[in-house]
Amino acid sequence: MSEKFVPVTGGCLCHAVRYEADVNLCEAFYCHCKTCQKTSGAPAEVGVMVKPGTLKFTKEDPKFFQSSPIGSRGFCQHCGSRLTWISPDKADWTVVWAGSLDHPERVVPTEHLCVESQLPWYAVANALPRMRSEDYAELKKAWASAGLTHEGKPL
Amino acid sequence: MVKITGSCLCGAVHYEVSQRPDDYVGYCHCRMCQKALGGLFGCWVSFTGPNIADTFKFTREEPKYYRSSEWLERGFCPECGTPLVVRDSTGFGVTIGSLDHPEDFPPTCHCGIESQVPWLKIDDDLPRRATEDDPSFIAIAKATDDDAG
Repeated sequence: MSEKFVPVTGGCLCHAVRYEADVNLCEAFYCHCKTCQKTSGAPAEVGVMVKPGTLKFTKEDPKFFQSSPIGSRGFCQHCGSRLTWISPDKADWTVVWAGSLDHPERVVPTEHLCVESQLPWYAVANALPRMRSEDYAELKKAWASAGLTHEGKPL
Repeated sequence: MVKITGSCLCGAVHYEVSQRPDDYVGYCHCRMCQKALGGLFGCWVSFTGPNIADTFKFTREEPKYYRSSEWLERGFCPECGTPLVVRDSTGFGVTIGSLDHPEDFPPTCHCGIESQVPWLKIDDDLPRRATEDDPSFIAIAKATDDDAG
């Protein structure tokens, strides 16, 4: 099997935070969840999966905000650029946002997630597979590990 | 009375606008918007006009601002990092995702298409402009030159 992770670099607008990581460029995802909309200020996020343990910040560290029991979001405290999402153990589930990469044109999205909250006017890449939150096994598993449903309610 | 509201993810910064937005609701594909939002573009709902100082209010904390160019500052929540606004001498643009009801503001155009990510295919028939052909950018660039000169 060929290695699906490749080395990339990225960083923020003001260059205070820079990172290196091995990422899977060819299976990126649109996330249409309400939290991603709010925190990105955009209609949806495009996330790129990072190989566990390979994300390294080479200048300053980002500031992290815990946006839910299952993840924290890292941004530059000087310019606000949004960079990453990291699960609590910082190992098995780490994402960098496509726009923070130095070469976002290399990213290939292959699916839409959390489409129940997709904005009606944001018609993008309609041919890709689409998944609702309640059908997203990995997401439900992560929330279940915190004792919650995928809607943040007690199990 | 018109009342348009939005906030960051953690709720520290809230804004409230008591005037209608401009006709412009624009995707901006410029590289700075991509980097600042960590996304594929900025998408901005703009509020300008002579009364903007009275009609645009932050009702809790103020955002932190980063000046990304001579004429533009970008405001974000210093606690959770949510990008919220851009401001210049004419008023504010708010990030569409920070609005409490983004579904009510369908975009009207694409700008900065010279740096649009090539694989991003948004299925719409909206007008598309490069930055150098954008009337608002031309006006700002001219005003900046005049001030400088």
